Amino acid sequence: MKGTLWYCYAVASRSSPGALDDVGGVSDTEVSAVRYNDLAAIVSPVPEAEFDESALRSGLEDIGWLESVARAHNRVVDEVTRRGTALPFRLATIFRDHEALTAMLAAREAELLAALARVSGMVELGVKVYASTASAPGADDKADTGSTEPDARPGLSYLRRKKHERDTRESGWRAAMEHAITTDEALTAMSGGRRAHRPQSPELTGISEQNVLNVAYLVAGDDIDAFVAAAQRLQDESAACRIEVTGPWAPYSFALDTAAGGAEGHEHQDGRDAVGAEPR
Amino acid sequence: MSEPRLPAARPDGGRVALSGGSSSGSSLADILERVLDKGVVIAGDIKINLLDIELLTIKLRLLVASVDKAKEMGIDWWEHDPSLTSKAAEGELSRENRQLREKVAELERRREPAMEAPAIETNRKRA
Repeated sequence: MKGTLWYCYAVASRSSPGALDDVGGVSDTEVSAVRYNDLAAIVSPVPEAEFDESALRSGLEDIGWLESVARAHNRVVDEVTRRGTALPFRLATIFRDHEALTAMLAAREAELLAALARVSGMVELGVKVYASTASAPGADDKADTGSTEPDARPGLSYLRRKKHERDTRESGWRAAMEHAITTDEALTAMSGGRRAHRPQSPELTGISEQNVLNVAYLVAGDDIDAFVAAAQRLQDESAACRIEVTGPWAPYSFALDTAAGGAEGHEHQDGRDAVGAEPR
Repeated sequence: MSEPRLPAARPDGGRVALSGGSSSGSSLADILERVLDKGVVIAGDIKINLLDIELLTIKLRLLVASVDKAKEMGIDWWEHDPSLTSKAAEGELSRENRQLREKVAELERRREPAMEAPAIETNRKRA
């Protein structure tokens, strides 16, 4: 079919997706499944004019377009995951026709089936730990420096105030880091897998609190409630942190594990990316 | 290109809870983190360089931290930097700068090139 490309959201086990008529795809397209042996690729026909290489390149630069495609992609993946097991693909994985898509499924059949088996019955939960701003410098330091010598030595009092602010910030940050590590250890013990994401920048999220830990855990569907309850307990234990749990997500961060994911050369080093950089 | 505007995450009052049992209402940052950085990477027929995507996420981070954000945070130095705005360029300061520069140039002209080394010594003594 001329002018049409196939956008592939995910691959599921053959029986998983069921009917997809009620799911809206990217750019208001219909969603269907292309089957190959025990695999089902979840796809939408998309206009070539919007999804060929040059269109994609400029589309990705347009945050409005990117947001609508990213949300639609996630929505479809979510729906499929709700009905069974799915491995989400990266945004904008696109094929010319069903033959090319089927050839891909054939070439990677064993790898995809193994990955599906590994995440079967599991979901991904995101956990972000923020250093609380509650303990941040406030009115008290104005009282102990600002009022004594208002203009006599403004430079000195400015430096003192800055140092005090920094010390307060650093001790709050340290307490938050320690509790983040405790949290991570406790939640890792409850999960079937852990992947560190980069801490999110306040500029991107609009959340002013420092994100010190951003991790995805692979959790059995039956354990979600216990996991969230544990996160709640961990939050109640410390005033230094705020803990946010997101999901359940399709297992994006566990889609291809290191065992099969040879193509993925850019896995973040755990540890280093797990913790936020010390604030300046 | 339209102004980048990422919705802030829902504020929650200290409650750790999942939003309605699905990720669909998640913040764009959380979604992009997964659909751009994670998921099965398969070379489809339309090639977008992974590097492009990584650059894009970096660009997003920078974009959102751009001028508006900086102004909000009280960083507005460029508005007074003569090399960045023509308005400030003709200000009092730059006129004074020009005069000073001319004076320095004149003094340097008067000084012999051979004087350079002793000049350093003079500085050191003073310090």
